[in-house]
Amino acid sequence: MTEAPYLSINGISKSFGPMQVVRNADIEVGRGEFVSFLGPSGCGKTTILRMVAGFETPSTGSISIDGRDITYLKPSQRNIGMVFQSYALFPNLTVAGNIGFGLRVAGVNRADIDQRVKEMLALIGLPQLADRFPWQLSGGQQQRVALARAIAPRPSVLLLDEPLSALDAKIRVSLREEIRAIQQELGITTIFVTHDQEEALSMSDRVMVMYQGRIEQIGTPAEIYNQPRTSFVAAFVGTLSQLDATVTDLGRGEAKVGSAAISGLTLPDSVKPGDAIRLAIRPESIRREHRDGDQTLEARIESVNFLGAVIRIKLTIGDVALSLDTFNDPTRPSPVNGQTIKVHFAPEAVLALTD
Amino acid sequence: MKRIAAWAALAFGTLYFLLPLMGMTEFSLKMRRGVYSLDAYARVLADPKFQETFSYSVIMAVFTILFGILLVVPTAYWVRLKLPRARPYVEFVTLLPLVIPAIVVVFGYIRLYNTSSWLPLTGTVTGTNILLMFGYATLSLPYMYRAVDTGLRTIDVTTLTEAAQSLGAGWVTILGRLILPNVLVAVLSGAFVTLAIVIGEFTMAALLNRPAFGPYMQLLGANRAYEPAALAVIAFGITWGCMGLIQLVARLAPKPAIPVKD
Repeated sequence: MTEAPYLSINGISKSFGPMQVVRNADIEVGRGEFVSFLGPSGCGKTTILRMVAGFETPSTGSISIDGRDITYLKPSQRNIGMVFQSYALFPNLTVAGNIGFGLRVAGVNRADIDQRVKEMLALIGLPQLADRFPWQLSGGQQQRVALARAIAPRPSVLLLDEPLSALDAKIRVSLREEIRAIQQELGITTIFVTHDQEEALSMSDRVMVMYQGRIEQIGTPAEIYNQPRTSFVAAFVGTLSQLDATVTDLGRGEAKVGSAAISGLTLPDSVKPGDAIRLAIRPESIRREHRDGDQTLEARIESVNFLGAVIRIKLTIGDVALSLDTFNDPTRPSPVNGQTIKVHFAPEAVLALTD
Repeated sequence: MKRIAAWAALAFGTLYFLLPLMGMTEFSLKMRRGVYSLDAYARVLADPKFQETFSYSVIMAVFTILFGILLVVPTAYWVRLKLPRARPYVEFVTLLPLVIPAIVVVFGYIRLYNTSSWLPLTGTVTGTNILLMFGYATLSLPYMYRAVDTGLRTIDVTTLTEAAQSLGAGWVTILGRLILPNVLVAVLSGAFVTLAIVIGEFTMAALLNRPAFGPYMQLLGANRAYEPAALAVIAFGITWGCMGLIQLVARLAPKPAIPVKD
């Protein structure tokens, strides 16, 4: 984020009794940016979202939107739209009634409400369902209506609290593309809470990974995936093989995994020869074909999982377990359990983690 | 064999409830010697006292229902939303009218609000009517609270409230436009039970000396033969009519938003 922050969350913490669920979180979100909060259940991501919405009050810290401190404002005074996991459509109102609710509460005149409701229905692609009640809609349609209802009053920030979790897989994929397209069309600043890394990586301008109430890393999806800063991020986002290693030569960037030496690594400045570090490598970074500059190790195939387009092979190098992903090529012989093969990887693809 | 036993149990139950009703109805039709007639009903319905007391009780029931809605809906809503741990205690309090006799409650009222007290409600007709309405609301509290609480259980009160708040709604809007319409069937079922209680209540109305339907029924029962039976059939009709209305309204209720299959 290069421009001035639109939404600033400054050093907020939240405790429920003796349990601290958010610890000193600082987040800045630019105008029109789509930021995902990603983490396992109980990491504090929803609590931060609820503090932004006004449903929880921070124990310490402040929240501001466009320079205006909103920390202690009521939820109804914040002009923030929110979409809930359970849709939360009002059962007694039609689709049009739901979408127009925020505008009616704001005292907008009838003609303008009707016009805006029509716009919203066109935006979510459901213009024919204005008179239906929520119980007459599918889950995907209900969530689209919930999105339209949240953005109809033109909120300054849109909060999405795991909006796709209750939907089945196919609808989830199509709806996440729709949400992103609508967000980009309207240019609305959006925070999206999810525990699904695929959703976070595919939809977001930036991703914030949380663990145990702390922000582990904030970065673009590529940064989060390719340059995880902590072991947690490395392990949580994508699949990762982690290898215990010992630094042997700083100049050559060399570390030993068992008896095999791997050189050309980018080692952290803080390590010295003899230090134990953890090396991590993604399954897709390990290849069966050699390229210039690759490191080569001999490995034994322990199991082969056919996943359709991809074959995931579990390997061992000495006592160390690794995963290798390779595209399914019907013209090549399938790998066989117990076979010894040579595997190759670029040293740059190996992450050295110290914590 | 099981089927036969079930049908036999049903038949026994039906006869157990219906035979006395049929006997009472038949008796109410025998005012004219030797033939069935509606004389007893005609006499009851033509009695100005019937019209006066029945109208009074219906008006009292309407006010009691309105007061009950204003008292119970926000209370049950707030307990569900903000004080879930207090629910067992609130439920206990709402059940107290079932174990404290109406006569104890009304004597308490008379003692607290008599003409020499700090709030002399019994000193005026309006004051006594208000006191009687409070009494009726107390008697119907266990049914009204339970009905509304059950209605609130069918909706996600917390999330709907938060959704409405994020759209700028205040508490009055949330209660009036969202919560109340969604528990309307429950409120109406509580309201009809309240109506039935108010129509038949005797102790409070008699001790507060108000011209209600309950004391009229008692008075008629003590002095006439056929008219009380006709009155009891009318009262049954009103109660069953209320039950039928509950069923009818339940069909028109907003349904919970469980999505249809994608």
